Amino acid sequence: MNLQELITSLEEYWLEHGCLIIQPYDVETGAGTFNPGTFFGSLGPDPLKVGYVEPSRRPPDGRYGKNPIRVRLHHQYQVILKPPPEEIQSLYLGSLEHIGIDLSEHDVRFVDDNWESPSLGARGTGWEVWIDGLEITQFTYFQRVGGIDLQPVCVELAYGLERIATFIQKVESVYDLSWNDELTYRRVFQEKERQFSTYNFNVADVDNNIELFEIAEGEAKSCLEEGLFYPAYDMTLKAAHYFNILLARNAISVTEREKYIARIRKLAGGIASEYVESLEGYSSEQRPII
Amino acid sequence: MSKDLLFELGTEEIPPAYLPRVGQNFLDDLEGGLDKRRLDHSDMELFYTPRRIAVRVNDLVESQPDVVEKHRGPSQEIGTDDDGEFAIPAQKFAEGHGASVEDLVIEDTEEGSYFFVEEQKEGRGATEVVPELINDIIHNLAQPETMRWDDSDLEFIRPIRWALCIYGNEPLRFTIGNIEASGVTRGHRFHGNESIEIVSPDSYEDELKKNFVIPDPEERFGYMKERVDERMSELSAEMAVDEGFLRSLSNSLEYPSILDGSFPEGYLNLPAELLFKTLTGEARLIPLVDPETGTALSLFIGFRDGVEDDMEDIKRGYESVINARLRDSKFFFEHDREKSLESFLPELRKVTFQENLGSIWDKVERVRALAEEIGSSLSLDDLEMINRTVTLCKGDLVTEVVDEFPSLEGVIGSYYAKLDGERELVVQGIREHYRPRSTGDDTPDTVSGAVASIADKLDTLTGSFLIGEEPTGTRDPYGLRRKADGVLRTIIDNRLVLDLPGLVEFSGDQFSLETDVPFGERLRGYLEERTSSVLERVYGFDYDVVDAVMANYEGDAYESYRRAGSLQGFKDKPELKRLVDSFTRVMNILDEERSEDEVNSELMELEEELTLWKEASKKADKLEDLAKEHRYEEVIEHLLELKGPIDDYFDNVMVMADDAKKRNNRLNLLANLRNLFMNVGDLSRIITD
Repeated sequence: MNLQELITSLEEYWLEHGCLIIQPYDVETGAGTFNPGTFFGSLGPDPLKVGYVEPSRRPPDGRYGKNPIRVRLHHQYQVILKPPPEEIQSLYLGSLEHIGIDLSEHDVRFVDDNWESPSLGARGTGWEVWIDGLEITQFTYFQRVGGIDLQPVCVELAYGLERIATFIQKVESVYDLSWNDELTYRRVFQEKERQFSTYNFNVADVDNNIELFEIAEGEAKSCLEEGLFYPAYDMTLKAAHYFNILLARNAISVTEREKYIARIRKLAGGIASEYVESLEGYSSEQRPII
Repeated sequence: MSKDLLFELGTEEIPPAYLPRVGQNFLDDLEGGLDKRRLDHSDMELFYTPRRIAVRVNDLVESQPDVVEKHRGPSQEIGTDDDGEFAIPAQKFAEGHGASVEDLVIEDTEEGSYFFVEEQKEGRGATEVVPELINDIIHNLAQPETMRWDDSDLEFIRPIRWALCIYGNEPLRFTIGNIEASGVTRGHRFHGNESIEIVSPDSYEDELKKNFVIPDPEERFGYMKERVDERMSELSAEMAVDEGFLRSLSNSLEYPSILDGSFPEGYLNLPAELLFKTLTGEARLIPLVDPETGTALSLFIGFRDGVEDDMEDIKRGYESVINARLRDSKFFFEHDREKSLESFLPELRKVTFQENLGSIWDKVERVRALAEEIGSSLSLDDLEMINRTVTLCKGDLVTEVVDEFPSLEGVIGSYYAKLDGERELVVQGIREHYRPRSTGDDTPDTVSGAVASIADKLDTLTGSFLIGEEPTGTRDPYGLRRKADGVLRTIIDNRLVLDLPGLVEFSGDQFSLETDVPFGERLRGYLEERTSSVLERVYGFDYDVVDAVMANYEGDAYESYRRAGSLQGFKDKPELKRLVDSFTRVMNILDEERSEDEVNSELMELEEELTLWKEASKKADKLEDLAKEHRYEEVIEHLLELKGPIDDYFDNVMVMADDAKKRNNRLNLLANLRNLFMNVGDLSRIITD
């Protein structure tokens, strides 16, 4: 199964199980969690099932396209289930069967790994799911997002698509993966990895990125003052992205790092409260869902 | 009549680190709850796997015993109307306890005559009490963390998905949160049945084993240990981890099947600790060593949760994962090695040690000054190497390997120092300076490690006391007690004669912080308290010996230790016991404050007085010299010789004479005597039964 079939197959499975299928977000994110589908989706009172692919940028993880498993941009398949159904674990495992893995022939484990995103003011309880020792999914019961205790809680499934694909295709390096039957991951991504790694680690101008962070933060605050939580959220994502570049550039000390994270968390917290408060003002037909 | 009860709580995977504790808490709460509710039973058995916690209560009685409860009602006066009939309060009282007024009796109490009624309370049945009790336990169980997963009010360590409850041969059905307890459990997730009916509590284990779950944790661990032993002997290898690691693994599986694999030998060039950590860390594999040489092998043992089929494929999966992890470790290691350990040091300025206490580099500079002070006070020859040790000892905190594996701090720095060609004492000192990391850990062996360890920990203690972060009985977030104990153990084990109060003051001067907190005084007091505790707990001296020795504590922990050792050696000798009795007479008559003023022998009129004075004076200088040379056994031998004169003195001399001059003179003599004894300690604190 090539990578695009894998994506299609997961999408098909979650479509069958009633998910709202949305598209990757068009602002840089570090993980599927940052897509509004998860951030806003996890917050409101209404039941929600949503699924999407998310290209996830993590500048510090870049290896110039030379490391067989670490990349600056990887792809997640993200599913949010609110409230989680009772048979949630079997439902998840069913998706692995659906993409062609015979679970009884492998060692499948739920290995405890609680999740926390200090910058989103979010935390959850859960596991990384292993198949023969390889971590392929983060399975988390979100307890809190944007500093707000969730009611109802939701489950986030974050599939690492490259990981799953290397497992299925039995290759050692992501660059040897077949994206489709004609093209390898190498052709599609390796040069991008090299160039972006070089930019993130060597070229990105520290002062400019600090300024970009501050501009984005300022815009987010202005939006929030006007009650515009969606644009405020986009600006927060941008700020988070510039922060990640500064991290890759090794331009931030440990103490400063905490301060930057606190600034992003403050924005996320403000957005979350503004959003939750605003939901009360809509009729059930008009209430935004993500 | 009694029957066995089996209760099983089915969950999503509970973390192995917490599972035994949560299981034990459940068992304890159930035992306590049954006891409180007067439901007798014989032994209880605990079972757990990541997906279930179960308890079997053998021979649980079917109901609580009936009891008679006696209640006091209104007074005779209030309960009787003018005609001598039962008044309304008495009628209501009887009704309230399901009795009629005829059942009421009047009894005299200290407060007057009152109505009483006896109520027959029929014991409730186990089938009624147990569901309430189990719900109560699950809602209130002590757990290291809890979570929510549905709209019930339940919070638990992980989501609860089913419950099995069998009493005798009948399922007990009741509600827990959103689920219903029944007679059905589940087998292994991939190999067992999804729905298994359990017909009686004693068939529980067999039914589960048929469905690829070993519910008894001891049996599972034992099974795994046997497999590991077999496999190790086949591979001529030994585990590089302790049994605790294997036990933790056994709590992460329902049905263990062993596998072994290998990785490219090139990775054996990595530092052994880094290699082992890569295997045991997130991958949770067992690293192996050659039993003869103790060197690492390019092999590992692992376990699959499930049946022993398809093991070749699974093994290849683990090999490919560990290969990738080792490649990462090698990348981190090689990246770190692109420069020397020393060239990492400037980075330490960017890492905060603690809010208000500066960066790690600031700490290194303080520790270096303190280490030098310690080194010179001990007249050590290796001052320059100690200085070098301290300079480099925190360098690895900003390396990639420590960023990835924080527990390798010190260890990896030591490797890097060696590769940089630093001298052996520096290399060892860097590795040892974190020791002792825990109560059971060894103290440093090298002088560089010992001095760096003492200075590093003392600096943390001083800094924390300076900003008011002192440990209390219940709160010690920075682990300061362990640090203080570490300082004292390092001093004692390495036989270092150090003036701790002086060092505390010196350490305080290294912080450029203005404060009103009398931190020096508090820290000195804290170290004194910890010295007592360490002498007793770590070195095993009797508490009264420690008490006696610490009565004359002047801040030298090693000296206190030596006095305690000498005194402990004499403690069970009858002559010491008799000496203690004599000395106690001295202490009883003296005020605490009395200092040793000049004794005037011309004021002495009794022979016993004069004898004691002569004997004591003869010994004064001698004992002081012996004490200076820490020859405390000899001090004690000399003191034993004073027993006769002391006893004769008390038998014949009236200390509290009417004549103030004589009285003072006699007290002064005793005060001098007390000081003689204080060369060892306050012997009156020794318990002689």
